[in-house]
Amino acid sequence: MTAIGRIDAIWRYPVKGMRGEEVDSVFVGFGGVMGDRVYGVIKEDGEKAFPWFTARDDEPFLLYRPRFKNDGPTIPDNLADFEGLAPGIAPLFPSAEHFAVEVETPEGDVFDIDSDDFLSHLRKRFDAPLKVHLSSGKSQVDCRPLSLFSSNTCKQLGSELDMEVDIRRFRPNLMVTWHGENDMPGFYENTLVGKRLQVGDKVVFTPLERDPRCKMVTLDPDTAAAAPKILRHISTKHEGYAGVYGAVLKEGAIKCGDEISVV
Amino acid sequence: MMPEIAPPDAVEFSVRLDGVETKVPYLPGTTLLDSMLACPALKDVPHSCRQGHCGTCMGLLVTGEVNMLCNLTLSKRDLAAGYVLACQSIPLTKEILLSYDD
Repeated sequence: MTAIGRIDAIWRYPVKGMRGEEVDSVFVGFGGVMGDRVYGVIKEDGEKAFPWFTARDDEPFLLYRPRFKNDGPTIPDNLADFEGLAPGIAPLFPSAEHFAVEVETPEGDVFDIDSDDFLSHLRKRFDAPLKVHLSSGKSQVDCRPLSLFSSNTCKQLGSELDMEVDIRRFRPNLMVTWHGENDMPGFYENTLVGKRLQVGDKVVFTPLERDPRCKMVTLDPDTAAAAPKILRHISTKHEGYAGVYGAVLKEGAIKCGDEISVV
Repeated sequence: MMPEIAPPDAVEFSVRLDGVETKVPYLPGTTLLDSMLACPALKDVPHSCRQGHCGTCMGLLVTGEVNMLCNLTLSKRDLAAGYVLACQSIPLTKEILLSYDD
């Protein structure tokens, strides 16, 4: 198989809507990246179809920094043993306490996410009836388990918009760089929808569809300042899509530098 | 979805996009976005989900008032600055200027 790209960065988002955590390697399961969107913040009076409170509701939410206590698990214990038992056994995931999270506010205060103090802080800060939600079964992603965005696309958008475009605006799980004999264009990932891609030695996933973008991409990841022109540009020049959503077909660990090839 | 408050009759609103101001006849029973998309000069006005969720059609309401049927994406900061979702907006005043250049 010929490599068409490589993983340059991996992110997971311990709390949906807050800042992400960059990791060097991680286990990717059918439900997505281990530790991704384990927690969310819910509006008790929110829309039934989308109850999450995010930076869409109040931009400074994006500036909160969640982190797993004790580093948080990225790879299941004894993964090689599970994978070595034919035909390959789905590994035992760490228990919930291993995903304990603390959150640093933009002002530098630190709270345990499941503490009453943090809940009081959230409700007061955002003046809304909020509660913290721990997902027992799967990542609280918007649509699909895995999101992928290429540096090629980011570069093209920056050129088209005549501005520096930080890839973190797009909150992907995987940042990849497509490579070939020539410079690969942006949005190359669109052509991979429906194909089976192998990442590293083990993981296989399929890009299911292009990723329809929302207001989140307008927010600067470091300041939460808004640049609506980014979303407008994606709408008018790229049909509203940037990056792709994917489904995991074969679980396993991935790491930065892993090559990607079409199966 | 019917508006909670009936719009005034014979509304013609203005849209500023890429430095050009366009007059748009308001089509009764529709949203500002629907009326814009019926106008050939605005067929490429930014929009996507048309459900008040993505925020692509958010524009700055420079003049006038609207009734938003649903808002799943604009923050307090957006609302205070004067942004509205065109896909959910029913005009409440005869004079409206919606800008996509701000």
